[in-house]
Amino acid sequence: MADTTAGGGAERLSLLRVLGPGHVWALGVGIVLVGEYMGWNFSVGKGGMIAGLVACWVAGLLYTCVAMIDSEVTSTVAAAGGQYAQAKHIVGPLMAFNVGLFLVMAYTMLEAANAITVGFLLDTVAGMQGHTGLNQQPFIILAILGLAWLNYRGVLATLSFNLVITGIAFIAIIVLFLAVEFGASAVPLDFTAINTEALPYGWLGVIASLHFGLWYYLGIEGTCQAAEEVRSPARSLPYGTMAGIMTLLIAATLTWYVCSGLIPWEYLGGSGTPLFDAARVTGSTSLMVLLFIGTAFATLASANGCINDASRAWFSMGRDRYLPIWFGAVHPRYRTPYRSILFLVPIALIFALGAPLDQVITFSILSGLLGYTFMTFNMMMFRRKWPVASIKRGYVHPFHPLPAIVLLVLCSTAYFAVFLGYGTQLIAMMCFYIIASLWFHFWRYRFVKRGDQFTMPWPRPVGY
Amino acid sequence: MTLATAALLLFAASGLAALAFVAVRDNRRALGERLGLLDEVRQLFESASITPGPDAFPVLEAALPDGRSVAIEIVPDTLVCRRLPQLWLKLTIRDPLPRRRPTIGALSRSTGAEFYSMVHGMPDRVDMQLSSDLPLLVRGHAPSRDEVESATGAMRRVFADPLMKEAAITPKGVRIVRRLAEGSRGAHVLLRQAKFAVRAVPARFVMEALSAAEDLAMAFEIERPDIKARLETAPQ
Repeated sequence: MADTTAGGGAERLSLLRVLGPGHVWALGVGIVLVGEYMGWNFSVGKGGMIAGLVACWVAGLLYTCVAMIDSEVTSTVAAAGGQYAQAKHIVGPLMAFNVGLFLVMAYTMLEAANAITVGFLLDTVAGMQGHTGLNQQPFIILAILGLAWLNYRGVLATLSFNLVITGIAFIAIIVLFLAVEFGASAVPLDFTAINTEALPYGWLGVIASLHFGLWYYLGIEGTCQAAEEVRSPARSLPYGTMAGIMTLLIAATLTWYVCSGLIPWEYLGGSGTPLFDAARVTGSTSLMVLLFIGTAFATLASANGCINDASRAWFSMGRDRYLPIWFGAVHPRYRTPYRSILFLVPIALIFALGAPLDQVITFSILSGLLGYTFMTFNMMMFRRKWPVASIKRGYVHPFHPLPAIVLLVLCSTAYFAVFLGYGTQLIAMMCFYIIASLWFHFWRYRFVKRGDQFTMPWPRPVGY
Repeated sequence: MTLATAALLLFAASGLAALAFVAVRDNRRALGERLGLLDEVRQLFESASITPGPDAFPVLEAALPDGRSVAIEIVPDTLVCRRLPQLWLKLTIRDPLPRRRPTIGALSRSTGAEFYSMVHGMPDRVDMQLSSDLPLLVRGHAPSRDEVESATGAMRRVFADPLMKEAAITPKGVRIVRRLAEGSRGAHVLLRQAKFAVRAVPARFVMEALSAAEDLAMAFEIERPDIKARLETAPQ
């Protein structure tokens, strides 16, 4: 990086980097690519091959609505902090507390899922070498503790890894697809199940599969919300996110195509590493190595991002006194939210060591779903309290309230999809958030600096 | 152990060793680069000393000709969820003796996570509207209406700079926090890295911050009617 003058020069350079095509792509894909390497295939288990594909596309529609709605609110709320900051300004502290919990739980459970996948991957490779029954737990613990340590010390901040890692993860999917298409697989693609067992559970299975269909894209709203401190309105346009959703849609469809063609849907529906298993079916050692590296990189990069984001959300709630301010401490040397990082490690370990992968993914999806549900009435309230002409918006999404209504309908469908097979987890999560909300309302709120929650120079809302 | 297993383990170990080597090399390089950030700024002051802070970012301390002291720190901030990393320049001018000034501070685009800020520690919320589109958190220690009015003009000038993050004044001195650089978006999105495109803080950038600090300090040297009257009636 060349010397540059600070102020205008550095800002100009950062804008140039933002506009670079590689980074526009990275905006949308980033760590979300892990959803192609694991988790999505449980949608095939719930509804069959076609249901898995339908779930992929319907989830793409859901996330398109998320991107449109989120871009408008993000462009208008000048203070960074994503949905957490939005909730503070538009709904109130109780909603902000819940949104903060949604973020923490979604990312902590995703971190646990990534660690489980790493352990499963190593167990699979060990089994291929003749060493069956590898104990996965030490590797799960090592993955979580290792990444937590790196985050504690802020070590990753100084590394020069960049697009190479995610490039490998994305290219691996493309290479696998091309290799299979051009006959490099010992087992040909077989889609006869489309005719014989297209929808083994009928249309109810299609609805049920939406549950895990969200996994293809979960977290993409986080990449589009990597906001600048001083936001330029032109940068609010959701082009990067839309490009990311389209990229993921292509990658997801390719993933579905290759895996469904190589692995019977009954086995695909329970696989821990579907892409790696597809590579194994081809019989190609090169493909196996490539997909092993892609899976390992994608899961570890995703887990790192989850530790980072979850700890920041917990830290923010501590600083705002939504949680004990003890969590709002900053390490004097490493400048990291070290107490938040340490606090969340055992939670991730408990779930990674004690719960199966599909349930951990479900917990993450449920927390994400609750966040998306919040966005629907957040948008309605935002437009009602501060109509379009009343405050300056960087971006106004079209066809309001259609995207919010569509998002609410799809979220409701997804809740029903989760209920089909994971009703216990659904009820458990709802009870958790209700109890947490009651605790906040009856106890914790007295410590909150209420006047500091709303900092935007907006006019009084309509009706107040 | 079969040959394939041994080869696999060797491959994995080599990969991890290579990653560790890269990590240590990059970390050492980054730490070394940090120390030189304020070298260009040193020339602004007659006697300035630069020492590494606990995070290896430099801290410059110097004495001003009028007896005040100035401290300049570089503060990395990666603590706000869903925001790019920021690199702040924190400038503090300390007076040798406490002055008759209020305690007032303003923080723009407050998220609550500003661990380097003085404003969050001030007890009273102050109503001060500077601009229709600038989110500002203004706090102080029981400032009077006159003191708030005296501060408003200077704060308006100071926060006309979009890079300004915090401006605070107390009887002991003045504090300015200004954005020096923003982290690379791609590096942050992929691995939560904090990559800043700055090798040296330009002297001009620090001069602008000093100017803002002086502007804020002078608001209470000239605009206070009692001080102004005392200056006008003081014996020559």
